[in-house]
Amino acid sequence: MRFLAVLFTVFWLLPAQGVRADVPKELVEDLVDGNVIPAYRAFEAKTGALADAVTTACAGGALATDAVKAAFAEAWLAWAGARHVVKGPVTFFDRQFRIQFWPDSRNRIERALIDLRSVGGTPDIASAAVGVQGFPALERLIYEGKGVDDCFIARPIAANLHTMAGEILTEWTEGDSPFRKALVAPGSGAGVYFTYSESLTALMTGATASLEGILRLRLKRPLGEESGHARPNRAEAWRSELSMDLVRADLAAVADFYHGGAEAPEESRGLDAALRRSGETELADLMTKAFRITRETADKVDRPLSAAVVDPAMQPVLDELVTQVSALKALIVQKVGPAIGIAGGFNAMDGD
Amino acid sequence: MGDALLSRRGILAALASLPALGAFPAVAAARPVVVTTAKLAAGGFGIVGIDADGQASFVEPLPDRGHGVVPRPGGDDVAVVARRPGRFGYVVAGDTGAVRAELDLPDTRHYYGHAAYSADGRLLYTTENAFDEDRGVLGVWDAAAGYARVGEIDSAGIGPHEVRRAADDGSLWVANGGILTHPDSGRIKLNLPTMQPTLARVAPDGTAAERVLVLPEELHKLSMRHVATHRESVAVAMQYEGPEGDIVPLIALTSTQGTTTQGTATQGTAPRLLDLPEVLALRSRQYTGDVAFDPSGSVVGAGLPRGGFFAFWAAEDGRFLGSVEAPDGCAIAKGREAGGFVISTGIARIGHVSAGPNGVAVRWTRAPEVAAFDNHLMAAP
Repeated sequence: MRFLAVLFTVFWLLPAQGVRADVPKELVEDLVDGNVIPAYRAFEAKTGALADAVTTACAGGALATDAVKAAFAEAWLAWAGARHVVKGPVTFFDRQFRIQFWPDSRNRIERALIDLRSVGGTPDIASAAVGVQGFPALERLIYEGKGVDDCFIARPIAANLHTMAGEILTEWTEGDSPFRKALVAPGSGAGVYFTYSESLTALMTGATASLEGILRLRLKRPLGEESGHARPNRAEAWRSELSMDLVRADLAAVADFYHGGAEAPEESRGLDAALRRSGETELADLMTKAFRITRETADKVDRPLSAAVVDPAMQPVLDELVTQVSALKALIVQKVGPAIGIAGGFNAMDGD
Repeated sequence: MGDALLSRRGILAALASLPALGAFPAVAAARPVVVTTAKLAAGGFGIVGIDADGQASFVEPLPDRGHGVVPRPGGDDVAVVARRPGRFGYVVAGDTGAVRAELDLPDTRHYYGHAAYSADGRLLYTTENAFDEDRGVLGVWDAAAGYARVGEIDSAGIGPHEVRRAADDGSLWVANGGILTHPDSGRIKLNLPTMQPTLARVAPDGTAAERVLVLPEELHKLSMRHVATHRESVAVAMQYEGPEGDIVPLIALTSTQGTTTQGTATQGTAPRLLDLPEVLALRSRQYTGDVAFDPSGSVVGAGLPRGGFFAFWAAEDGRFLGSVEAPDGCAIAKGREAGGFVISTGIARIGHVSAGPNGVAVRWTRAPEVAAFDNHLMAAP
């Protein structure tokens, strides 16, 4: 709790200052061009490599080769690098759920795989059940499947992931009304946003949703409600043991988003630059520190979450991580948002 | 510019040096015309009664953020339940806010935020999540027995949000949003690709719910959340879970009449779907937060908090009548005269609306005791 207490003490003392009119356009461009589009480019490339690896392995009479496992990990981590984007092409045709349907409390994935195996023949994956199209289904085939006998399902899953990644990238960047334009030129008729404030809200929603997902789904579900009641099989990607790497990739993605894709510590872009241009230097320094400390804590978890949650020695580290991710989210919602001119409405919350 | 800022700061400094507002003799407020939950200016959350001039008739604290408020027929009890996934429920006096009963919710349930009384005022129904069973229920409470819990019925869908009693036959209408959530995962939505919202009807005897309105397959992501009733008319307000650029209808009108049962399937009257002008549709973010009929039943109004406006339609033919700009405006309820509504906003305003074929007019009041009005309100009994 110490970290949280310090953060709250500090940020309540920060002065409130006005936002400069030229901030939003440059900020939206930094976030989109510096973070979002590069993240989708990486996702497209890594899913391409995954599809190739699966094809090669299957041609050689195997599925779960080291090359496939490595390509699979890189592709899923690249998805973690992009899943803080929750608006635009990734929402078309349920793509975000087709890429990763999780959590799967009703075991839909297993049932859908059984269906595909019983039917036989190359399935039309893109129109199959949502759960069977993405990483969790492919993970089952690679890590607890029937080897080469599952290639007839694994190959189209990998190819379809690459197709979806390519479509998302294309729809962001190409054609008459790319989604990029809807965000960087709001009100131009290119899309659904009328002001930079709306564009920023759309982007910031994803960053906070990603932190909420780390907290609620990725950490707290496997940790369980009380200590000693951990549920290791509720960890994301426990079969491939990627759970903690995915959390780290999520945190890295939100940090990269915040910094607008800045590549060196001394380079100021994105929200960091916007805060500094608005005179919010102390808040910017605090955010940089908060991201650094949180990521350092995540690095201390030296094994998959499914193993970490059942090790009492890891409990304090995971508790600290939960506290720090909560504080990061609170800072973004309560301080960074208002400082750049966006604030969630009291009544605009989901579903009520 | 600098001068203006300085003088504004000067004013703020002068205000800050004054004694707390509570030290001034309060303006005596009249009877409440509106009862609603709110975030209080003094901090925390509460249930408040507001008079016609915007003054608070009463302010009673709640343990956390409340949501729906509903009057008991034939009395002045008002039931209030927690915002999801909260677990408190109270019955208070409609004129003073004094607590008369507390609802004792089973550990395996949490509230979804709304409640309705049976026509005789005997039973109270609350929408609840049976979260370890992935199903929605209506909790049943007996007002005559000190609001003891006397049963529950399946809501015939996942995520029942608002329940309302139809005015003509006393049947209850439940908007099952279709979205699966679990308290372990907070408000994160777990089943969007497969969600199937439904409108369900509970017969006046309160025994079981049956599905009466299922949207066409291409609209399965239109989550039904709120319900308004007038005589045989039922209005359903929806929230779209698909891509932002899609333009979909947000209000469906149907009727308690003409509901037929064939075998095990119940078929409701085909809904009329209401449209917004395109600019407003895009601004709305495809999200409604509340819906109401005026006292004559000729006008339907809805609050669209993400768009920052209220919209009004003619119930007869679905014609759009006009809108009222209202930042963070959400709550809407029947007013006192034909075409009349009361509305409220997250910036502590209450509006008195008159809507009809000639357009829409509003008179705003501000409530100094309130920081933000919640998503729903009711006209005081």
